Amino acid sequence: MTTIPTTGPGAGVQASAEPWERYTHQPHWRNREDEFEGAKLGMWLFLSTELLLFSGFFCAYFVLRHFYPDAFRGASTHFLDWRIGAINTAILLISSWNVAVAVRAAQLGQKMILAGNIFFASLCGVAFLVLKLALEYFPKIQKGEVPGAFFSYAGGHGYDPSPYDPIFLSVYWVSTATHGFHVLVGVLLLWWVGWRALKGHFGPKHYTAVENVGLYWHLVDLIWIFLFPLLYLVP
Amino acid sequence: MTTIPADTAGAHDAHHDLPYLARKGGWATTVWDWMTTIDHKKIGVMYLFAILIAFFVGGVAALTVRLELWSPVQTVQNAAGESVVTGREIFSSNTGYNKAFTLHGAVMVFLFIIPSIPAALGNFVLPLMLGAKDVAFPRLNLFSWYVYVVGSLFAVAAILLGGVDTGWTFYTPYSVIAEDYHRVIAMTLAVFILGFSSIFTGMNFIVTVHKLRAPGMGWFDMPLFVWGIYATSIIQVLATPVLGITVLLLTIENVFKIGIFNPAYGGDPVLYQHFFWFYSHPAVYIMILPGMAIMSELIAVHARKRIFGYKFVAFSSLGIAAISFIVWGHHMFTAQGELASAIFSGLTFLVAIPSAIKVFNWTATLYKGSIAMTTPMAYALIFMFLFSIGGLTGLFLGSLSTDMHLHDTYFVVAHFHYVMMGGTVMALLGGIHHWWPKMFGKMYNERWALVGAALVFVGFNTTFFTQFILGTKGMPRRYATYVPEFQSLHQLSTIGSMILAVGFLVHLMVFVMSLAGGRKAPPNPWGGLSMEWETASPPIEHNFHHEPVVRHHPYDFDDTVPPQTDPAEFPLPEPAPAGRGH
Amino acid sequence: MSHAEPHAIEFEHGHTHHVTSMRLLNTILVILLIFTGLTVAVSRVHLGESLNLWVAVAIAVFKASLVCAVFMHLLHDKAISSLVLFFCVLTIGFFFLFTLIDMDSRHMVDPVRAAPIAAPTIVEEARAEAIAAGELDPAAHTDESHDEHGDAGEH
Ligand code: HEM
Ligand SMILES: [Cu+2]
Repeated sequence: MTTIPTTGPGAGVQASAEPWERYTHQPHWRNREDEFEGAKLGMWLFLSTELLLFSGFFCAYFVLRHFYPDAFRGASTHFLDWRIGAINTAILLISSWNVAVAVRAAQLGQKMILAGNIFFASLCGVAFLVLKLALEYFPKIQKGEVPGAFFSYAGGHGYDPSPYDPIFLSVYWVSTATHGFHVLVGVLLLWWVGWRALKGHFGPKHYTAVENVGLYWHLVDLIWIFLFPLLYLVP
Repeated sequence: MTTIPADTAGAHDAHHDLPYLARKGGWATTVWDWMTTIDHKKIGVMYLFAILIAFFVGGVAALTVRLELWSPVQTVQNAAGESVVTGREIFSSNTGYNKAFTLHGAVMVFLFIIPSIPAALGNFVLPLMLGAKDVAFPRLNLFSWYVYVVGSLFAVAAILLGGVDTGWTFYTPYSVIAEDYHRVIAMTLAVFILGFSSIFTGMNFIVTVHKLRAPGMGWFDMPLFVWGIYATSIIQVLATPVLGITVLLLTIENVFKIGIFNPAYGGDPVLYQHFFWFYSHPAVYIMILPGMAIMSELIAVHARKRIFGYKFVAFSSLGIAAISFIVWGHHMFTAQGELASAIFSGLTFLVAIPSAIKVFNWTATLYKGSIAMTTPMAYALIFMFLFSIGGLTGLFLGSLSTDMHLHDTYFVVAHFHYVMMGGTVMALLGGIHHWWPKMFGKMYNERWALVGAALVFVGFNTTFFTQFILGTKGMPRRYATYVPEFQSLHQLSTIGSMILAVGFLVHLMVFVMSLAGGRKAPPNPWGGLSMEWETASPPIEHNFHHEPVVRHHPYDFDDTVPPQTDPAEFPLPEPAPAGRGH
Repeated sequence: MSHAEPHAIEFEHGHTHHVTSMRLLNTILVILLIFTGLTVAVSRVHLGESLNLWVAVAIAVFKASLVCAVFMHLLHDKAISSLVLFFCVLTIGFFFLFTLIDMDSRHMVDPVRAAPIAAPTIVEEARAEAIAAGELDPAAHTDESHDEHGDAGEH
C-alpha cells in the first residue's frame, strides 16, 4: 500500500487474461460506458434515499433538542463518551480513504492494492462495530441507559437524570443502531467486492461494483460525520 | 456514437422473435418462467395482476363500509322499554367499522394506487416507448415485485390477525398506544417494505430514461407518458424514504416503547404528522402524475392531434413534482402552529397552476381534433371532468379558513376520491384499454367497455358527489354512526357504490372475454406514433427486431403515417393552408 | 504531482475516467482528521446553545463536502451525480425548514401548544425502584434545573 507503481493507462493488463478483460456488458445496454454510468446514477439515487431516510432522525433530533435543550446537554455529556465517538470517526474516515484508494487501484489494474484496501476498510468497519457494541451498547443496556419504557438508570457519579433523558437516548439509539446496521451491510458488501477483486473481476475496463460499493461506504462515513458532533458533542 | 457488440446485435435467433407471451413448455415451466423473468413486460403484467387483486380487496372493504352506512345507528327503546341498538348493518361495533375503513384506505393507497400505473403500465410501456430492450436494472425490477408481494403479505397478516383500526394515516398517539399494537406493527412494517418496492421502481425508471433512450431520441422527443412517469419517479425516490423512516420509527416505538412521537415519553405527536405528510402529500402526486401521463397519450392519440404545448405539459409534471414537497402542512391546519398553517396555505395554491396548465392543454388539444369515441377517449374525458372537480375542491380545502370547517368531514373524503379515483383510476382504466391490444394481442369489445365506462361514471358521481354535500352539512369522516338527517344522502351514496361495482364487473367481463376469444389485435390499432406501436402486438421477447430509430415526433399526427397501419385507415389531414407551419 | 501518475484511464473507446491522485486523497484524509479534532475542540468553547450547534453543523457540512467532492469523485464526475445530491439536500432542507418553522412558532397565537408535554414518569419510577432496593441514596436527589417541565409524578 505504501508504494504506488507509476503505471500508465492499461498498464495493469497482464499477459494472462483476467475476467475483467473479457467483460462486455449486459445485453440491454448499448455499451460498457452507458452501463457503468447507469449503475452509478442508480447508486446516487439510492444514496439519496439513504440520506433522506437518515434525515428523519436528524429532523427529530433538531425538534426534540429545541424542546429540551437541557436534557440533551446533560444526557449527551453524561451518557456518551466523546472519545469513543472520536475514535470511531477516525476509523471511518481512514476506511473511507482506503476505499477511495481501492477505486483508484481498480482503475489502474492493481489487483492486490485493490483487494488489500478493501479488506482493510472492512476491518475498520468491524472495529467500528466492535467498539460500539463493547464500549457503548452492552454497558448501556446493563446500566439501563436505554430509551422509553425500559429506561432504568437511576443516576450516580454526581449526575441526576432529567425526566427527559430517555428522549435523548431514543434519538441516540435509533439513529446509531440504524447507522450501525448500515456499517454491517457495508462490511458484507466490502467482503463481496474484495473476494471478487481477488478473483480478478475488476480492472480498468470494469470496476462498477468497486465504485458503487465504495460510494455506499462513503455514505456510511458521511452520515457518521453528522451523527458524531450532534450526539457526542452537545456542549 | 454507439457500437453494438456483435454478440448482441446478432442475437436474433428464432427464440427471441417469439411473442413475449409464448409458452415455454408445460405448466410448471411456464410458471417458473414467469416467476423468474426479468422481462419488463412480464413484470408489468405481474404487477397488473397483483394490483387488480389489491383493488378487489380494497373494493370489497369499501362496499362493506358503504353498506354499514346505509342507516344511522341509534339506541332506541323497544316496546318493553329496554334500550336496543338499531341500524347495525354489518359490524357489531365501531371498532369493526374502523378496521374496515382502515383496511380499505391502506390497501387502496399502498397496495393499489401507488404501484398501479407506474409499476404495471409504466413497466410495460416505458421501455417500449424509449425503444429500449428493457429497463436499466431488470433484476432489481423483478426484485421490486417480490418486495411488493412480501409487503402485501405483511398487510394481509395484519388483517388476518384481526385488523388495524388506526386509519391509513396511523396517527400518533393512538397508533403507539393501541392495545392491539402487534397488528399495527405488522401493518407499518408492510408499509415500510412496500416503500422499498416503490423506490426501486422509481430508481429504475429514472436511470432508464436517462440512459436507454433510443439513439437520436432527445428529451423533447419522448412521449409525454415518459415525462409524467419520470416526474413520478423523482417523487418516489425523494419522498418515500421519509415514509420509510416514519413507519420505522412508529414500529420501533411500538416494539421498544420509546418516545419520539409518543407523548407519554416526552415525544411530539404532531411531529409524526409532519413526517407522515412530508411523504404523503408528495405521494398524492405519485398517484396523480402517472394518471396525467396517460391522459396526454389518450387525448393525443384518440383525437389524432399534435399535443398542444408539449413543453408546458412536460415541464408542468416536473413543476408539480417540485411544488408537491412544500405544501404538506395543508393536512395539518388544525394540528400545527398558526404561522406554519398560513405559509402552507399560501404555498398550496401554487399546485393548482401546473395542474391547470395540463387540463387547459388537453382541452386545447381536443379542439378541432378528430375525436374517436373509443373507451380510452371516454375515460380521458371522464378524467378531465372529475379531476377538475377534485382539483378545485382541493383549493377550498387549501384555504385555511374554509378548511377549518371542512377538515375531517366527508367533503375531504369526496375531494380525494374525485382526484384519486376520478383521476388516477379513470386514467388507469383508460390506459389499460389503450394498451390492452399491445399487452395481450387481443382487441376488447368496444361497445361493452363503453357501457362499463358509463356505469362507472354515473356510479362514481352518485357515490361521491353526495359526499360533498354531506361534508358541507357537517358529516364527519370515519364514523360508523350519524344523525338520521343524513340518511337519504348516505343511502344515495351507497346506491352509487353499487352501480360503480357493477361497472367494474362489466369491465372485468370485457377483459375476460377479450382474453378468451377477442379478435386478434393489429400492431397499431389506434394509429399511435410512439415506439411501442412499431413492434408487434404482443411485442416480441426483445421488444424490437432491430434497434429502433427516431424518425418523427411522437405527436406528429399531421404529417406522419402511423407505423404498421393501412394508410387508408388513418388518413393524414388535408394539406394545411399556406402559413401553417410548425 | 508526479508526472508518471495517470490522470485518466481509457475505460472504453472514446470514454475516459478520471483517476484521483494519491496526493489529493492523502491531503483530504489529513484535513478530515484535523477537522474532527477541531469540532471536538470547538464544542468545549461555550458559544451559546445555538451558535455551538451551528458551528458543529457547519464543520460537518464542510467535511461531508470534501468526502463527496474527492472520495466520491463528484469533482470530476458527470454533472448528473451532483444534481441528484443537490436535489436530495434541497428536499431535506424543505423538510427541516417547514417542520422547524412550525416547532418554533407554535407558541405565537396559542401558548398552550408550545408547552412541553407532561414529563415522562419513567425516570422517577427508576429512581423510586432503586431507592426501594437500597441502591440509591434518596439524598442524592439534587434536581433543580428541570422543575419547570411540569409535575413528573402526574400521569
Ligand atoms: C389541486 C390540487 C390539490 C389541492 C390544492 C389539494 C388540497 C388538499 C387539502 C388542503 C387537503 C386536506 C383536507 C383536510 O384534511 O382538511 C387534501 C386532502 C387530501 N387530498 Fe388533496 N389536494 C389536491 C390534489 C390532490 C390529488 C391530486 C390527490 C390524489 C391523487 C389528493 C389526495 C388527497 C387525499 C388522499 C387527502 C386526504 C388525506 C387524509 O386525510 O386521509 N389531493 N387535499
Ligand atoms: Cu395534500
